[in-house]
Amino acid sequence: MRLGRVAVAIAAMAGLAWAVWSVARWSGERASQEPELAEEEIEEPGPARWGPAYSGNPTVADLKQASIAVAGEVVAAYPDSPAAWNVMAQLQFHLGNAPEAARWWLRCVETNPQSGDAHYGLGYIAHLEGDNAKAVERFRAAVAVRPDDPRIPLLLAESLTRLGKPEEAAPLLVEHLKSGKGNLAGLVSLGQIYLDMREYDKARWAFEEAVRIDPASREAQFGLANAWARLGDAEKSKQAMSKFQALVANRRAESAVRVMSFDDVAKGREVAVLIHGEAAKVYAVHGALEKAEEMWRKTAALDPRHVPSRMELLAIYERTGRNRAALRVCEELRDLEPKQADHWLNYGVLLARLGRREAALAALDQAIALDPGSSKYRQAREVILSAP
Amino acid sequence: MSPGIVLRTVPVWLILGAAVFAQGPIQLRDMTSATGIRFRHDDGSTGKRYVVEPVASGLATFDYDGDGRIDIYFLTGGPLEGRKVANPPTNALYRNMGQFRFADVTQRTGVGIPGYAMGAAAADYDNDGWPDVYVSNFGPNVLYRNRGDGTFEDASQAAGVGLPGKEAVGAGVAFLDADGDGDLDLYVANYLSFSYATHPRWTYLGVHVYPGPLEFPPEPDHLFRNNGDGTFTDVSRASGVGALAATGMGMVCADYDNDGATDVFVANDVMANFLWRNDGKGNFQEVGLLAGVAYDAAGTPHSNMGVDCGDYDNDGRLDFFVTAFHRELAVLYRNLGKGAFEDVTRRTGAGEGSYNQVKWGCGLVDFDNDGFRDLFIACGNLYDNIEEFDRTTSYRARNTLLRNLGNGRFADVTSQSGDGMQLRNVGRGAAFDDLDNDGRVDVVVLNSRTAPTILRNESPGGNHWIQVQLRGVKTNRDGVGARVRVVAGDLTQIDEVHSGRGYQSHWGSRLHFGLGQRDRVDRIEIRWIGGGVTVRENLSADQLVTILESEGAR
Repeated sequence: MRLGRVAVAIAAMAGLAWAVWSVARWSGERASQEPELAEEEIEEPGPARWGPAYSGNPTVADLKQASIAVAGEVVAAYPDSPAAWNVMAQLQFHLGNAPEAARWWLRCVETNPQSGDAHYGLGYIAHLEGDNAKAVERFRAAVAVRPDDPRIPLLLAESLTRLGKPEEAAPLLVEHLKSGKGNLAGLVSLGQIYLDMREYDKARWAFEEAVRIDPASREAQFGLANAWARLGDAEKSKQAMSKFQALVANRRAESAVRVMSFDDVAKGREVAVLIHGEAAKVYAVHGALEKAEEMWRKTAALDPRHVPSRMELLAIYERTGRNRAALRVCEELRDLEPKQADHWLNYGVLLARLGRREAALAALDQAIALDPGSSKYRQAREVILSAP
Repeated sequence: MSPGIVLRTVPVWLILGAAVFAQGPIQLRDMTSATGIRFRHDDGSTGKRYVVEPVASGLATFDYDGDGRIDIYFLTGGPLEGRKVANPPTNALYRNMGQFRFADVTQRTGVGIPGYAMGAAAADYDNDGWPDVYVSNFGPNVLYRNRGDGTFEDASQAAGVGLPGKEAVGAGVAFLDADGDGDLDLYVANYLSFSYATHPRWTYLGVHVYPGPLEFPPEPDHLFRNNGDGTFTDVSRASGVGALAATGMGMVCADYDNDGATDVFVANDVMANFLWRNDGKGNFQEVGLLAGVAYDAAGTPHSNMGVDCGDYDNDGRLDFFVTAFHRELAVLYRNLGKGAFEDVTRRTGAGEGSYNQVKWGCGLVDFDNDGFRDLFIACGNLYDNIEEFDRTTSYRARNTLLRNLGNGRFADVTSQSGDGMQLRNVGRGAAFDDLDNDGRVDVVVLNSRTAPTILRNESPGGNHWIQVQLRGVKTNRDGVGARVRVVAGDLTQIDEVHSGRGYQSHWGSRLHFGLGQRDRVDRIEIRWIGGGVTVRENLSADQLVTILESEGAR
């Protein structure tokens, strides 16, 4: 099991067994840092050797090249693996080569009809190409494999509605919302479908629910205004439209402030991060943990602000007992998300393991200050305090 | 019973019938190479990808010489900074010689002043009996006054509508009688303010692409009031239309609220559309949001391109159809009455067949004369290198044809509608008129950087039709803004005379109504600007009827 952000917190919460054991284990070794030093002395290839994409100042071409290389490597390593083909398909899709992406995803579903990513990818391409019948077919297959993926019902419902079948789309979304996963986007989509069906009172209900979740949702306020207008209540329509107008004005103000120029390197980085992350998962699934770790490290190097890759690395380092490396990652996470109490918890536990008791307590104090209502941080602090 | 026996028992007529049906009830045949038209559009591109290049240009179809045949005026860009040419390209006027042959009369008529043309509208602004042409440019605009002897003169300066010194990129234009005084005023939409110095370089995944319109300051539109003496006064500020700046593209004028005053719809690129409501005196209030046409159903501003209006469901109210970018549905706004519209795109299927293409010129036109207006959409991507970074779409694209089924739904019939609908090109402006006077509306598409597409409507079916040409007497001579109601048995249709519509284009001064199998028209009622009504009754179908304002006036 990967030790992600939540997992660390849960471990701490569950009677703090992990933390107690960890603190106790390391508190007696304060003077003995050799194993850690030995670990740190191992020189691992880093960004400088990996190439310009990971250098901190890459070009789009560097990022594309790195992504292409990674996808090629994973397919070469596992030529019969649909998971590897999926990485190649994702790469091709994000580089704009939809036909090639479709070829790889078709290979996936032919080999493994349970490939949810592939069904979804094929459905999404069909959706973008405006082939709604094909999109419906693929999204239906995808939702059968992945009933919990919140993206699929929305796209399936949209494709059905465009095909002139809103009466099939609406119950699908109603069911989806029952699962509690649809929330805002699902309610807005449902409201729009009800408008298409001229079920204006149901549309009003859906948009009101959406507004309840997020009063700043432009789509929900706009839909609500339309629903009230169709229901003949001009005053309520006007109220919702006024809120929509205010939200639009805010957006315009934001647009005016930010530089409008398209950041192409950011887009290239986004694709590279995705491909590296997907490749890491494939390596992990096949047991190539060193390679998976390398991919996560590269992902972290690609994007100095990328949290998920750092959480993965934290889990790997924790699992393999590399506490100094884990501490480095914890520090990065703490700096990236200083208001995230769990990062301070992880940081504190690691400091305690390394025998830095005062610093550990200070970190736990920070976590408590950030989330005073949660008992787990206090419990962790107590454990550290009570450790010999 | 074996399958073989079943096959042998299928009547021959049924097999033939199926084959005919597979062709579809609308047939548009490519006539381009036979027309004699040699015009090629030029966007003046230099490889620097200036924002103005991919949005050019529109065209106009109108009868400039009054010979009863609709002529074609193509617009083109000109050389942009960094490109030198010995002979800059010019707009081109092609005279309709009949039988789908056209002759280039640009030089002879004098409508080829070099410039970077974006949009055009034709109408008789001086009520002398001859249609004039206004051309919107990147840079100063041009008003060509028709002398009536087969030539035009540049009246921009004399009329005061040339906007000398203008650096903005122009867009759609339209003539309308905004103040109901009997002569035509002029609405000039603007796209944005462009300068070579501030042109940014954009890449997408390393591919050099055109920048978006929001990189540039938007421009307010202009409204010129016709003084009745051949001159105009800029009333942009006084009328209200100059108060808001946006990225105007296509536009159309129409009385959407049936109050007798001509209103203005402007499609804005990546911004809310404008619907300027006219109080009848030429004062305008922007009501797009409240009317429900500013955004799509989700409250999202589209990259709006062209706009046409027509009564798609024959409920007596004019609806709007607005084209958009790829990955955006073109939007059909149904007029609900009382000044309100509803996005019925998904309900009607009006967005089908073109979602993955950039959509430009458009027309609500009855191609099969069944009494219901179909939809034609000119397609072609903005980026000539789109396939380097997105192959869910393509630079060259098929245009889209959606047949109105008469039950509130449209069906994509592109594949079944003749060889003219199978062409892949880079459509921009589109115009729809009966070029061979056979009672079927033909199509002209201006394609970016290449030759246009001319499609002859050869739809079978034998449905009847009637065309109406208005001649204003007290009101403007072209009847621009007049509302026409045609009743044939159980079929009642409306339309209005527009000057300027679609994607920065002009067509349809002669109104066309399909009648289905009805071979007589019970009644044609014209409500002129100002409220005068003319009625003609009991007419035979399949003819062009010219109706004077004074005839049968009530």
